[in-house]
Amino acid sequence: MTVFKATLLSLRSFLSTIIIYFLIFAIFTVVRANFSTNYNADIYKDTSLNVAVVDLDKSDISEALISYLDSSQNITKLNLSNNELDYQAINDNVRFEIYDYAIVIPEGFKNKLLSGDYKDSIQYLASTNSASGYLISQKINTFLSDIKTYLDCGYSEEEAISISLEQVKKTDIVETKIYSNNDYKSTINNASISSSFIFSAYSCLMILTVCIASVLGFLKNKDSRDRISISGTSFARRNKELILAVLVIGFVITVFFFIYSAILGRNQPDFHMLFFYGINEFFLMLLGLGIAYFICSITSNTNLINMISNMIVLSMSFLCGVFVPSEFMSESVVKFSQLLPVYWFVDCCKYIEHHSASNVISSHFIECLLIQLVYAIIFFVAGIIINKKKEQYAY
Amino acid sequence: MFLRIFSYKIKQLIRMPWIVGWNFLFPLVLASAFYLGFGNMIKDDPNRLDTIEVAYVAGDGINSNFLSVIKELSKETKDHGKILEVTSFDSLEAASDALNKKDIEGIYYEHDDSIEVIVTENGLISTSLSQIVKSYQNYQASFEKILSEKPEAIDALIASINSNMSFLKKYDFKSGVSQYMQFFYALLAMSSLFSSWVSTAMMTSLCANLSECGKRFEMAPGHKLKAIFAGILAGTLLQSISNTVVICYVEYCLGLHWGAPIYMVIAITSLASALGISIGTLIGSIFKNEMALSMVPLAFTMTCSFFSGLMMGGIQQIIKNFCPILNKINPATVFTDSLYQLACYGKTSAYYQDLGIMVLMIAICLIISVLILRRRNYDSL
Repeated sequence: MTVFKATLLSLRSFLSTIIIYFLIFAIFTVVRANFSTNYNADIYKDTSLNVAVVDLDKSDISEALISYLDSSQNITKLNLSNNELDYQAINDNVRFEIYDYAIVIPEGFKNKLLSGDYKDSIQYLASTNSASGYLISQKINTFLSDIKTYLDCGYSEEEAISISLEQVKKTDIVETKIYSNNDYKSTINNASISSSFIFSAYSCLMILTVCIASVLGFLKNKDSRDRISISGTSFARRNKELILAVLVIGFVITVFFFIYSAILGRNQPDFHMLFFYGINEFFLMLLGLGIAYFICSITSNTNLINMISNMIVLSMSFLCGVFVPSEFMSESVVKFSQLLPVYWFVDCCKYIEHHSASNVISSHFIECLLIQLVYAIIFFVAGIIINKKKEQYAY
Repeated sequence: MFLRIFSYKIKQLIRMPWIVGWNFLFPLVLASAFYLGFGNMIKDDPNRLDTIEVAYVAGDGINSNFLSVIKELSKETKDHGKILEVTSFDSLEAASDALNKKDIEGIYYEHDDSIEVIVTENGLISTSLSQIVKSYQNYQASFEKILSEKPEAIDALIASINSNMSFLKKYDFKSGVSQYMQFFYALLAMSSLFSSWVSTAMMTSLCANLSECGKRFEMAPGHKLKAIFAGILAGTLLQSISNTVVICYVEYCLGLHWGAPIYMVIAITSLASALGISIGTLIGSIFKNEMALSMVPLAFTMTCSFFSGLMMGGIQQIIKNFCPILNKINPATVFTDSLYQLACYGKTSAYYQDLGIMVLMIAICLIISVLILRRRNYDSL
């Protein structure tokens, strides 16, 4: 098993690459899990937004407003004074979606409300014309209008606040139903084990292509090739050991990703679908091996292997919905990305996520796996043809 | 001598196919992928509130006040655009059919004195549709309560309802730059840091223990530091040209605006190129292994780029909130932040601070490199 051992040992040179890409994957999935939202369910649930509140007024009315918002939204109170207030810092958080909305209740707001000089007195920050901006603005305006109306009609301040709070509690109950049309493609669900698996398409493919293409490229070096070819081992045995080593490397790397995703998603509702995600990941591994073989047939230079791998994998990841969900892409781009294998891996993950274990094995599931397999074979055959042509013209 | 080495270095670098590929071709390919992936999100913000197509079904056959309210929301006013596009349906079945075909995004079904909302999924649109009903119910409740408890306040109530109270005003920085341009800033950061490869490749030909060319260079009586600086300048020039191509490609071919004058973007990116080259010089002077000289710059660049938001937009903001110092020592984030500050807020103190940090990083990298590289001895065999 000399060739087998040598192939495995040569992988040590790429340990830093493996660690880097695995760390990127690990960090990304942890961060994404912490900031996950679930838009998909059979039961209606109001969307809770992240709202930052700076209360400079600290009056009973401003506190009532915060308490009302707190009942339906995720409120972050920023304890800032007038001097510490930094609109730019708040805007940065809104732009990068740490907060969906931020309000600054100014000092003396209560007095302005009581005197009737309240118009446009609360400042808010939200993305331009965003749906979240409209939603929270509507809530705030409704609540404060209630208080103002009760005050204008002769109720005391305490009465106006308590009646308004009671009232919104009652009127906030609206019968809302989800009409299911079973379109799994239109839903975004980050609170699922599938998001880790989807991101693994980038990291796992990068590690597989860079490491395996580099290892195979190393064995194609004139010096290594000459030394191997004069050894006593037969051609068939050498190749068998090489294929076995490549499969073992691919399998171990894939299992690493699988285990990590499983640990991270152990509390997710679709954890029991792990087996199917595993099957999909296995076909991704085959695709990775195919791409790696194709790349190493083009070049054995480690730098060029890195570059081509990055170009292929990173571009496919962006186009196929690994980083940005395909729901946000234009129709023509989605149609184009259907020509790429990673699209089918991502699609399969979404399909598993939205189906129960009993009905996940369907023609679509098998179609997704087969397309990945076909692409793996295409890359592999293309690699063989390039190698053969290179050998023909080498002499 | 300086000019001769400078021109030779340029010739040497442009003859390396992988440097041309990584530094010239790869950013263009990635920019194209970004554009195809979310170019439409830059031109058309996905968070924008578009008019919601909604069906109205009166189960009891009588149109109530609610229909007037939602028809009011179908008009464009100076406060808001057209929120709803209402279509009345005769039956719930017909409306459900339209919902199924995605002709509409929700249904208001009014029956037995209540309004039911039917949607296809949870999300902002369904919550907004539900919120409209909540606001309507709330006004109705206020009206009924005041009329029953304080009928004498009817005039004040009507005046209050007609006053169209508005408590909120948007604090607007008037920045027309999409938040998704951050991906392109991170792309420029990655491209600039890739220049660290240029300098590690250059260092290989300057170190006697790494190449034949290095042996000849070390033997020559020329001034070493001058030669190294000529190489650094050549690398910076090449990388700046590469970045300028990417900047022009994004601005003119893809039609995405950087948010700042293009010459400013080119100038800042050239500074970032110098930073990438300096970091590469430092890496080249520390590591002596050929594999490390290609893997370390790649690993460094990809890690820094990831934390500056290349693959996950907003990660730099999360880091800023939890550990801001990390953003200040990550060259990719410092660079993206300088472009972001310029595009969104203009030349603020934070912008100048970012530029200052980049200059400081260049100086530190070069000083350490010079200290490591000067008066080197090789073992005599």
